[in-house]
Amino acid sequence: MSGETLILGIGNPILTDDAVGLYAVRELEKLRNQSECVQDLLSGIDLKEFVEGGISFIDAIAGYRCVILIDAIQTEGGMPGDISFFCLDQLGARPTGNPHSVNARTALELGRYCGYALPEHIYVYSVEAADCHTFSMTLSPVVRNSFPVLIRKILADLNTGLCAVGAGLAQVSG
Amino acid sequence: MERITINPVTRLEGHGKIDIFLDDRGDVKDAFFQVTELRGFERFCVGRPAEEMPRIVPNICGVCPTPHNLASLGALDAIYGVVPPPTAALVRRLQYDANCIEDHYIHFFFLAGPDFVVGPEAHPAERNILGLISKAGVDVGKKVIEVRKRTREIIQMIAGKPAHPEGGLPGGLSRPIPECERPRIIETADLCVDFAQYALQLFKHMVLANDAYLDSMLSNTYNLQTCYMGMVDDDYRQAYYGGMLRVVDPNGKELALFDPCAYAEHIAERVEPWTYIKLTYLRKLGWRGMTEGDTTSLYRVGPLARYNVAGGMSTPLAQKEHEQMTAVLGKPAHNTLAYHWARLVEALQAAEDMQRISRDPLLTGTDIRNMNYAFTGRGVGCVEAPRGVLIHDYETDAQGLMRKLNLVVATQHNAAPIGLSVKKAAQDFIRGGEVREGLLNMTEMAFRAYDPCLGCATHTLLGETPMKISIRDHRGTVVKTLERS
Repeated sequence: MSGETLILGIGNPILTDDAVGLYAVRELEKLRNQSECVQDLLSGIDLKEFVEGGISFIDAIAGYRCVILIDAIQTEGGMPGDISFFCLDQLGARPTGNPHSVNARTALELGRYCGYALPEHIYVYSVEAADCHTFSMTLSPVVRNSFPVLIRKILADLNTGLCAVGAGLAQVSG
Repeated sequence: MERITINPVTRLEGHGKIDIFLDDRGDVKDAFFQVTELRGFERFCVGRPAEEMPRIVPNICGVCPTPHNLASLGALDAIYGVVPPPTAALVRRLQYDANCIEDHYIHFFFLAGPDFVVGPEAHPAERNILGLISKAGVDVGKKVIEVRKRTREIIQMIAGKPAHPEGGLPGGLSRPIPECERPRIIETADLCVDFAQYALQLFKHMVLANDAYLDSMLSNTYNLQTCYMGMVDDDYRQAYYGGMLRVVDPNGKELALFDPCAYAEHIAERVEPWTYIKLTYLRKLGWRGMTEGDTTSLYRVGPLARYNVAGGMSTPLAQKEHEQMTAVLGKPAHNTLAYHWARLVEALQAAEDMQRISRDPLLTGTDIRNMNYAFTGRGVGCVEAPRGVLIHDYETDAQGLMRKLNLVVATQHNAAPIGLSVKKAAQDFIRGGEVREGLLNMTEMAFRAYDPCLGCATHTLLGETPMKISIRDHRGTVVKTLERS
């Protein structure tokens, strides 16, 4: 852990669009190595991949003041490729037990209950997935088209100050 | 500012979907449990070098990554005709134990525990780990997190990553365990043994000492008379890999004892129109329908099955607990809710085994790989995943590239019995087409005992995995839907 802020790409690397968060942090890392401007934007920010769920989430984010998640999502009536940005506490999912694991909000509540130093702010970039059920290491065409938009949006938001954006919900189409 | 709420359906639609079919009188006739279907795995694997499989298969499912990794390694050993040296076998076993402990406690404290400790009638918003902690104390949560963290450190030390372990090669390991790691492993093993005993005491205090819960466990609603399949060692004690598969009938009489390589001679699959899971049954008995009792050809796997097929446990403290279970439940035990009890006894055995391995001089040996290959091109690997028998069957071409594969996972073995268990629980709540309150809770308890793996359950970080019950009339039309999300 080297910074106060963490960008955490989440997903399964072999389930098509589910991996979009992982690809995003790899792309940001690549850009950081290629461009001084991106290096400045990502200064003091750790980039990590996260391939699981449940209470491991606590281990992944403990100690950071601010965490930005990048993840695939499926919402009622969502259009594949749509990109959303929101605060984690805007998630409708309640803290309840999943068959075998827990969601992020439950993990957070549990971590706070047990005295972990957890971030004050957690933001989410989500990409509406077209296919998370087929084994593949390639994004679906529609999510692939959205991918550059996602990267540009993250960098633009970092440039303008993420917290200001995080006060509301911004949504752009891919 | 207008508040907007995001409602993920779930990241991967990992529904625990249940269809209940009524007869023409409106009583329960059948029930099927379904999980998410992930597509194209065989196509994804064919043509890849077989050595990649132990790194790929843990990605199938974040719930059983280590068992998939180990079953895959077993298949690779057979393809290359090698037996790993004793140190490698010991390290693999340590990896298995660490996963077993972590997995069983996640299930008990996050899923099953809340049903009992918070209460089966409690609101779902309270019937979770937070509700459990508020009843049992915050120390429980801290201990669970600590044990989980420490066991995952061990998996990481052996296999690179705890979530998707990448370690292991045909014939052994890629790197030895350095001696400097031993004190930490010993410390973790001791911690796990203490916690395992604590967890069993908690279970006895909260569940067995509660007449209502004990009655539930012993009730006919949660009793299902099936055959059982599980792995045993040469002394008929519970084994997790490297043993033989034993099958007993509902009266405990041995029906088969076979090398897992011969699984296809003993296990058959059947396709039903209402579920894409192929239902398994005992081939030699033939398909006898979705029935329980003396004539059934359905079998169960997992902790209760292992309790029923084995003569006992392989470690002393777990053996004592096994005997206590037998004193209360007898053997074979058909009490579905006793899966939880058996799970806690197994976690104790895994912790004791870890304690023994942690002090074994061989653990840090450097002879970790046997490369005297005698290529066969075909291999079956079998381990007892925490939720039951897991089989990987691979076939390669002469270059060792994958040509065919077949995976039989625990939830497939248990799919038909889960349907039957749900049916029995539902029968108490549906009469003449009328659905009483409580159906969701009671059916959840019935299927949750099996700890079924929903292929993508761990990928629901932003959302959650809802449960949906569709009740269909005798024509198959959905007449009512109950959903918890």
